[in-house]
Amino acid sequence: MFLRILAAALVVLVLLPDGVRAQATTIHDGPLSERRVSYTMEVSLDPDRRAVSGRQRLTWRNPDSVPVDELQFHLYLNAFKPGSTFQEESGGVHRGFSSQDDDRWGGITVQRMRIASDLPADLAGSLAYPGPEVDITDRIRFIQPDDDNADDETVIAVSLPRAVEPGETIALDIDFESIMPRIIARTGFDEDSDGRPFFFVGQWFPKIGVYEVPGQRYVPADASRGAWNTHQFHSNSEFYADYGTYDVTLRVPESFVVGASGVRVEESSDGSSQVLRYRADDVHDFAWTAYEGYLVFEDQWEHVAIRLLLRPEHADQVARHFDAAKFGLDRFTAWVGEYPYTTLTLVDGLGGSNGMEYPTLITCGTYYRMPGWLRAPEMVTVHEFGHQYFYGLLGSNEFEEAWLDEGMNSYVESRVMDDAYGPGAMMSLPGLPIGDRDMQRLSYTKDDPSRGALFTWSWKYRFGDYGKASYAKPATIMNALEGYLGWERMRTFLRTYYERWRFRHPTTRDLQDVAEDVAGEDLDWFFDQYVYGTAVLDYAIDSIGNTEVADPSGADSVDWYRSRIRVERVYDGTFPVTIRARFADGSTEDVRWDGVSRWEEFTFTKPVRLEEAYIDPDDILWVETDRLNNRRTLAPSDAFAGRERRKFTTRFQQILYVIQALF
Amino acid sequence: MLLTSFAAGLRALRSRPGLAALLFFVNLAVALVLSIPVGVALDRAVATTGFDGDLAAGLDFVLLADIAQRSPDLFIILSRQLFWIVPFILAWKAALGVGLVHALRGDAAGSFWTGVGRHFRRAFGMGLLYLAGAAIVIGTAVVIGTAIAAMSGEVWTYWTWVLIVPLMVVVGLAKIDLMHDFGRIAIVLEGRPVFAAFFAGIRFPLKHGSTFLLYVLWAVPAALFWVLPTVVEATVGASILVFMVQQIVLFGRAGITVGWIGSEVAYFEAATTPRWAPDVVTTDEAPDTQVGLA
Repeated sequence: MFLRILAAALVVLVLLPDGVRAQATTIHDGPLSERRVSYTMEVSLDPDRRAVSGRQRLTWRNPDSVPVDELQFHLYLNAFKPGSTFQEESGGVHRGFSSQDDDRWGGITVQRMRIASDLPADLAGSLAYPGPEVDITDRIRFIQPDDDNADDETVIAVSLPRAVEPGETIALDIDFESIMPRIIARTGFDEDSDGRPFFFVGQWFPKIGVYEVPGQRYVPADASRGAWNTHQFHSNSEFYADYGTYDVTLRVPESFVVGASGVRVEESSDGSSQVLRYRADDVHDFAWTAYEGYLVFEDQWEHVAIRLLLRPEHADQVARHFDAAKFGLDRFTAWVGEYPYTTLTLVDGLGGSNGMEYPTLITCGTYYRMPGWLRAPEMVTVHEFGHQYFYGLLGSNEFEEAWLDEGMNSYVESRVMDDAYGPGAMMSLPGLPIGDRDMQRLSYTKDDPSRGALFTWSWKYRFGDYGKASYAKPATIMNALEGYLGWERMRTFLRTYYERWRFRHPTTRDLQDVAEDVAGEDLDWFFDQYVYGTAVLDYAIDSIGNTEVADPSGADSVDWYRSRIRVERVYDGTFPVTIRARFADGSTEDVRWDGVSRWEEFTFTKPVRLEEAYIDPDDILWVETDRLNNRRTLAPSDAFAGRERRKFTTRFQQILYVIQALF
Repeated sequence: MLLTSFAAGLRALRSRPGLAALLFFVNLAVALVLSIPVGVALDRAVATTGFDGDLAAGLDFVLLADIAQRSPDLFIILSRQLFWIVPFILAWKAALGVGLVHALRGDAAGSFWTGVGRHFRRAFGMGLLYLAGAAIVIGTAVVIGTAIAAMSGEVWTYWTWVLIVPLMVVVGLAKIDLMHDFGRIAIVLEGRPVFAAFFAGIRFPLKHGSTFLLYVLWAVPAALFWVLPTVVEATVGASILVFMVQQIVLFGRAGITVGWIGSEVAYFEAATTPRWAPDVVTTDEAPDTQVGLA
């Protein structure tokens, strides 16, 4: 690893001109992804109008083996217009934040779209339209591929005067203006308590959809042609885009502190405005933020320059953010794979902008004087950093398979948190440490686990099941898979998944294939139940007992017993499990059960009585909805109940004294 | 007068330990009764599972959730207890107040229960008025806190809810409690009816500012004795031995209540002309000739 980084660094130093040394976007020489798209944008921020406007030069290469005569784009910000599908589904409120104030709507206007003629030399030879400039603005039409909501303007289609031939690249110049909404869905503007404007600019530019070719994801390999996969922006959906390069120049008032995806490669100022140019390669999105109040802190982790933009009131939490980011970098690198980018920007934004991932830039979020025992900022930082892998490097379709990014990331996040911070990783309450994996487990098992299959399009969930089925349930299910495979094989699974699918668009099927390759067995029994289905798992000890029997040897010198353990599968879910019998002399015996039958009885004949039976004694069945019924003893004890009763008594006495004293 | 009254409270505490015992045992009995469903539910949920020893050694978040799910009736039973525990607490607080004042009055000290018998109804009625006062104090603090938070940023919001509102509530409730104490003293020592005693309770501490100092003098040890059981438990666990130690501390806390009320009675008696009318119930004289009626 070290040698590879060193070699890459040397290559960068030798090959690049002085002006851009140490400004490489990744530690590798050359493209890491297919780079079907490239964006070159020059935009200005007008804080008073909360507008970002400018021009985009987009190139797109036709990956299909047939001509493509239509392009499709996301205009995500149009979700924050009245009547959009997002507004209809969310009621205008997303995770507690609303954009419904009278003049607080947002949106993107495509002012002009032209097929470019002034082409860069390195692309000119392969372009489909090397001729004169062609205005195609009037060919733009809104489409609604997911529903019949004619008011939804989050996707546009543009028919081309001539199709783009296979392998050819088309370049478009797009003039656009984006009006930022009051922050909703982690994007927009707000004011701080001093009235200073804050911008988090995400999903802000016309963004071409993903054209899936035959054999890619769920497009049949024998299909005659590929298809656009361009979903509308839903209340419960995130995003999906192709890898490429971004070269973005921002003109922003001088007083603002700016953070953005990628590497800042140029900066200048005319006294009133600053012009900042960023490059990001082998990523599928670009976001930025501007706010006068940010404090800037910098740190380094191996090849990664970490930049923290922190609100002044949180200045005492610098170390908490950097530590969490480094814990994430350490463990994701060791367990999943290399972080190839040279920068990571942590943003402590205002309110609803926090808790979001963009390539090489994440928003974290904390509160003033956040107590150290409550590790919410650490968890958010680790989680959003983890998205650099599950979303960033492994670019699954967040619309259709949210669990592949949120769920897989929540699984590794919970492991990182528990490993880095120990028991009480989430909350170290006195006498009651609460770990991240425990939180995930309860969020799934205690919230109607029979609802919400992981393999569900994100806007199809009902009853608020999106959150559970995209975060806690997959995290818990992956913890159970880890229990089944063992941690070493689970790490191999994660690393293989990364190696095989980085900078591509994996599916659930692809992930299962990797798991099966690593496990060396068919895992349909697991994926069918817990990923594609909604099986609920609970095993219980139904009864245990002893019956005195004759000494099998006929010696009759000691008492012999036939001991019986009767176990029950309570719901439909199954999972191979160990059952441990503990006998009066302290000895134990483990038996395996495939867990399929509704009831099963295990018997032991020994010269000692059975005292206790314990299903899953190593606690690896994280998906079990009730662990308490896993165990039964013939020697009951009231130590816990007695202790809690005494504690309750004392607490209530104290309450009585307070009541008697305070009014 | 402040120190004299404080000393009088200490004397009351020494001379009437039975009152502290009464307060302690009633509180203990109520808490024990309420703890029965907790003990039964936990015993039923855990005792035969084999997890008993693990849970006794340290709480497990996941198992606690399973127990809670297994025992939904526990929360129903505990909430049903509110139907009797709330009226009981209000009644016991009223009885305790007038009983202690009656028992600790200076030159005509009597039985705790006689005081309860004679003054309970008025004390209970006045207690409801002060309860309303307490609700107003809390509500006002919350409204003010919400307004400050709405008009300010994160820092002010934090200090509003962590410091300002709790301080407003604690100081406000302490003032209410102080007035309530003197209202009860006015009931017992001056025979005032409910509303007159309520207003007398408000007036007296306002006229005699040092009453609040006296209140603080007793509140400090009361708070220490109140928090000590939790500190002990957090430090060494919740064994039976610790429970016994906690009970000894809480007995001390009950004693502080006796001394506290005794001090306030002494202060009141020193600051005013005693008027014993309600206790002169056997007199045949016309009301206006009764001793000390205002």
